[in-house]
Amino acid sequence: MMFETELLIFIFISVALIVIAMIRSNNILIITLLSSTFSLFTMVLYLVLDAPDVAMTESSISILAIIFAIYAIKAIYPVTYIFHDPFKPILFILSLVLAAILIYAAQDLPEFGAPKFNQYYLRNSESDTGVISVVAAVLASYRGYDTMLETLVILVGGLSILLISDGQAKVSYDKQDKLVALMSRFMLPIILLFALYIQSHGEISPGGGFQAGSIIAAIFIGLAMACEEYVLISKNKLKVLAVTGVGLYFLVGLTGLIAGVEFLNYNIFFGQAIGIMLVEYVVGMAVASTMILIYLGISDVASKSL
Amino acid sequence: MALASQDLMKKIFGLGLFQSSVLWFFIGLGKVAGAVPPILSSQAVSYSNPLPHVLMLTAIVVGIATLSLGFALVIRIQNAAQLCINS
Repeated sequence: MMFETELLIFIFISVALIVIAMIRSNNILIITLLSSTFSLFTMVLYLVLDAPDVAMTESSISILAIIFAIYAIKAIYPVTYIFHDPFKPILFILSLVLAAILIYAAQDLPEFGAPKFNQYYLRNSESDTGVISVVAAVLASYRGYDTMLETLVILVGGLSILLISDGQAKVSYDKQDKLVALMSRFMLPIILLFALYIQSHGEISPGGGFQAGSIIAAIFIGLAMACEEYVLISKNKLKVLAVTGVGLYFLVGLTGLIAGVEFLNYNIFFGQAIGIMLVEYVVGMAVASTMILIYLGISDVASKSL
Repeated sequence: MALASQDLMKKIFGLGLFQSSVLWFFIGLGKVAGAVPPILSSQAVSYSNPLPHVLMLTAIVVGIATLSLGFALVIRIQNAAQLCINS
């Protein structure tokens, strides 16, 4: 990459400025705006650091986080969005001390950009699994347990938000804005196509279940914001979808047990490549339905509080 | 300092900031100079380390699940506080 060092320096300086502004600001709306700019710079940083999968996940997921934050802000702050925090010098000194300790400890780290010794995955993933995206192979095959349980964690987070909203999950529809409806009807099917492309190309290019799942959730959230009444899936079906996602992952792993070898060994029934593809689709479905559930839960909690 | 704020939303934003910086750290550790992203191709000689990418990918999604749970909790806390103040 051409201007790598310059890009990194630019990103670090801008992010330092953004973070200082976020911490010192009193206005929560400005903090939200700066946090979305921060995630934009984070995404560019991940691209510069050769992590396209993580960059895609970061960008699509930060958007969802900002949407949830805005619903929460609308519910909490009655008229004015400004809150005065007294400045405590002891905290500033503590954070400087922590930063100094971390910088001192970072001297021991290996040099930035030195080749690492973790070559096993790179060397063997094509012969073991047959996919060329090493990240997808490690995610779904070498570290399949990890991904299954983390999807379960995401599901539990979504269900506990439903607990907080007392099991209600619906969006309140205001009058439909014609312009938003027109643009969403035009753009969202194209975005859906793109999300399915990302989902299915997870094995040969950056992509996979997490990215595609969050984009599909964003499509539904966009439709809900455009107040299209015919589109919203009922909450019970969403719950079934989300739980089925995790359950199917578990079942795909179970086929290994049935065939007599260990859990999550896909080799016997379908081979690693198809096993990875199945698992990615399942994770995409689980993540999408959980994110939509979270959106419905937060918008319900927010609307009941006004 | 954002974490010690009395403004609850600012606390949660500070938490998200903290999580992001930890992810930066790990992914920055995995980069190899002059290498390409870890997608096998015939032209590349050396790749960046794929393991931190995988771990941070799920970390991001789990982070947003916990952050949104925090948002919902903050809304309910504010409701309860408002009820106390009003009565």
